[in-house]
Amino acid sequence: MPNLFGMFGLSLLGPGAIFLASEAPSPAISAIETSTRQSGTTVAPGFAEVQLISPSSSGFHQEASSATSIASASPVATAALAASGQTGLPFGAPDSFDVNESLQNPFAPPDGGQGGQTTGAGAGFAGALPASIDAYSSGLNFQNSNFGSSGGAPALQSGMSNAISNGQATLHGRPAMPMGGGASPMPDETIWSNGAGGKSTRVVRPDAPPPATKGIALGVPGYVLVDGSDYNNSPMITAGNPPTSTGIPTTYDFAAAGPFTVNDPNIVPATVTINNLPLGGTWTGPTITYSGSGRISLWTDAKKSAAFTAPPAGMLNFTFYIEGTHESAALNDVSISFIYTVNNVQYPAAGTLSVTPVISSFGVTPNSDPGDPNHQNVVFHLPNQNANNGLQAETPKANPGALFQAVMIVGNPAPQGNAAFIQDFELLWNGIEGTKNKNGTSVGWLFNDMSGMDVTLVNGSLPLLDVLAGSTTQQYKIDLNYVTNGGTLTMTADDSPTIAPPDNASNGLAVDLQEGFQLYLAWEWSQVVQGSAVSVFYPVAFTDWAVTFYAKATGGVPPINQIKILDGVNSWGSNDYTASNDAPDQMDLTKIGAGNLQWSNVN
Amino acid sequence: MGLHGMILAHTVGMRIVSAAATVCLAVQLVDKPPADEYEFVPDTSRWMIVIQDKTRSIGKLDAAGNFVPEKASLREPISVWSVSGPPTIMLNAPAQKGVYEYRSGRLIKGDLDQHGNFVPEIGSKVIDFKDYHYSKDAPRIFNLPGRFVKKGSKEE
Repeated sequence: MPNLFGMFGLSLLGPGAIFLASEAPSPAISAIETSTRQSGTTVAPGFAEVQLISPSSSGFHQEASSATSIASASPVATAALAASGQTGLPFGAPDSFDVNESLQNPFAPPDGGQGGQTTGAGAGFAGALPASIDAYSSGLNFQNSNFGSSGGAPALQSGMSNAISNGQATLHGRPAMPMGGGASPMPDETIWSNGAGGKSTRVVRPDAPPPATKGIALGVPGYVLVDGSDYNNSPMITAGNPPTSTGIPTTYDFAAAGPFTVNDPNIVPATVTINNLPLGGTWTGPTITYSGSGRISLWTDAKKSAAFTAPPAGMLNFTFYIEGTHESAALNDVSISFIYTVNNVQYPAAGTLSVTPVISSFGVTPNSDPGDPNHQNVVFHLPNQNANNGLQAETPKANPGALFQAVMIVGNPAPQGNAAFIQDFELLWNGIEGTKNKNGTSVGWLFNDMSGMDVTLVNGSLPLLDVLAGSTTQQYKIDLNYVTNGGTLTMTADDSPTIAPPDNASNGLAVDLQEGFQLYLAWEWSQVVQGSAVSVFYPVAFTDWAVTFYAKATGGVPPINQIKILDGVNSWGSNDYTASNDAPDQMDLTKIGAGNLQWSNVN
Repeated sequence: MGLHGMILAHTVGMRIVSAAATVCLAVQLVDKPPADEYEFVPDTSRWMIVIQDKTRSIGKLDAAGNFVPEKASLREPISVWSVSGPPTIMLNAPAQKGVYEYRSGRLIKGDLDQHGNFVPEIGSKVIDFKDYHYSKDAPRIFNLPGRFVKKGSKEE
C-alpha cells in the first residue's frame, strides 16, 4: 500500500513544467539533512534521528532526541544484535511500510520501558513485525543515555543506522513534520508504544534507496501562441477598390469551428504519461483553471477535429492539443490538471502555461537628446533658424521624436509569425494653441496679413493608415527592429512627423498644429488564405501619442523663428496601453497618410 | 512618397551637382584645434532631405558623399507630404558661404546657394579629407558621410 507522506509535486521548474504526482518515495537520506525539526535542530547529512516522545494532552512531547552517524554505527549495531539474540534484520523489502497502516495497527514493541528509560528485548517481538519496521524491530536493547536511561550502547540508533546503511531499513519520517501539539500531530511518522509507561519511540529518518517513481506526468508547453491566425481559411475582410485585404480575417482560428483542412501550427501538443501505476484506474479532468486573462481550448488534434474533454478510455499515455484563445496578461495564468485514481489513491498532475504574446511593456516615449534640459523633440528643418523649410518632430541632433517599444514574452523557441506595429493617423487639429486668422477662425499657419491656412488631407478623411504608398502590408516599418533574448521579444520603431512649409512660409507669424496617432501592437502571420498570400493581424493592445507643432515669429515679425513648445511630442507613456483585440480603426491600404497632407486656405 | 519600409531596392545615385556661376570667396581656415580633439566616425545611416525646385527627396549619403534618394520619396512636391517619417537632416540648406563638399575623400571648397546648389570656388585648392581639422568654427562639410565626435565620446 502506498505510503501517503504526501504527493510530491516534482516541478521541473519554469512555466509549463511537468508536474509529477507520484507515490511519494521516502526522502533519501540527503533529503533530511536540511530539514528543520520542530525542536529547531537539524539532522546532518548521513545521520538519522531518533526521538523519544510521550503523549500529552496537546499531542506528543519530545523528551529526547539524538542523531547518530549511519556510517559509524554498524559495528555497534552488529554487537548489539548479537547480544540481543537477533541474528539479522528479519524484514522485507524497503519502502513497504505505510504510516497510516502502522498507526491503525500499532505494533507494540516489547514492554519494559519505564520512566525515562526504554528497554526492549528482541525475543519478545520476533516475527510480529510489520514489514520493514526494521530498524526498530531489530530488537535491540536500546537503553541509552539519549533516551534518559543509563548505560548501554546507543543500540537503537545503531541498529537503525546499520539497517539504513545496509539499505534495508525503511522507517519513515519526513522533513518538517508537525510536533508538539496541533490537530494532527505527527501524522506521517512511525510511532510505537513502548508499554505502560506511555513512552514511545519515534523514528524519523529517511529511507534507504527510493522506490521507482510512481505517478502521472503532465507535459504541457510553457507558452502557447494565441490562435489569431487564419488557418481555417476564412476570407479576409477587404476594403478599397479594388478590394484589398485589411489583414483581419473574417474568423480568427480560435473562433472557428473545426475541423480545419490543415494542421494549425499554433495548436500545440501536450502529453500525459503514467509511471509505474496499476491499470484500471479512472481519470478526472482535464480541469482548466484561469487566474488571469489567458484562455485556452483543448482539442484531440491540431485540426480541431474534436474537443478534448477526457482521456481516452483505457489509455494510459495520451496526447491532447492546446489552443490559445486569448492572450495572457501575466505569466502562468492558465493551469491544466488531471487526476488518476487507482486503488482508491489519487494521483494528480498539473501544469501551467501562458498564452502569448504576454506584454511586458508597450508604449511610446517622447525622445530627447541626452542632457537636454528642454527635452526638445520639435525642430525647424533649418536648424536654429526658422520654419521656412517646415518643422519636424525630432531632436536637435536628428534623433527620432517618438520612440516605439513593445517588450513581449513569446517563449523559446519563437512561435509562428512575429510581432507588428500598426499605426493610424487619427487626429489633425489646426490652431490647437489658439492661433486664429483675421476672421477668428482657427488656423494651422498664420501669415503676417492675418490670413491663414490649415493642414488638410489630399484624399479621404481620418483615420488614415500610416504606411508607405504602395505598401502591401499594414505594418508600420519606420526604423523597425527586433531583438530576441531567450523567450523575450523586443520590438522597436520610431516616428518623426513632419510639417512642410506652405507657400510664402517666410511671411508666417505662427504655426500651430497637432497630429495624433494610435499605435497598435499586433501579432502577424504571413499566410496563404483563399489562395492569396496575405498578412493576418491579431491586435492585442493600442496606445496613443501626438505631436504639437507650435512656433511663432519673434516680436510678430516674420519669419517664424521661435518654437514655443520644444517638447511637442507627448504620449500616454512608455508603458501605458489599453489591451484590446479590436481591429485598428483604419486598415485600408488605399486610405493612407503617405503623401496625403497639404496646406489649404482658410477663410 | 512615404518613408515606411525604407526599401532600398532601387537607389539612384544623385550627386549634388554644382550649379552655374561661382563666386570666389576667400575662406579663412580657423586655427586648427589640437589634432586629437575630435575624430571622424563614418555614418551613412542617417536620413537626409534634399530640397530642389519645390521638390523634396529623402535618402542617405553613401561613403563617397553621394546622396542616394529613396525611390519612394524622390522629388516629392513640397506642397504635399507624408505625415510620418524618420528623423532627417536638411542636407543642402540653408544657404551658406564657405562650405566644403565631400567627394570621395577629398574636399572641395564652395558655397551653398539659395536653391540648394553647391557652387565650387574657382581656383580653390582641393584638399585631402585627412587634412581637415574639425572644430566648431571650421567650415562645414555639408555632405559629410559621418560625424565628428570628441575622442572617447559618442556624442557629436
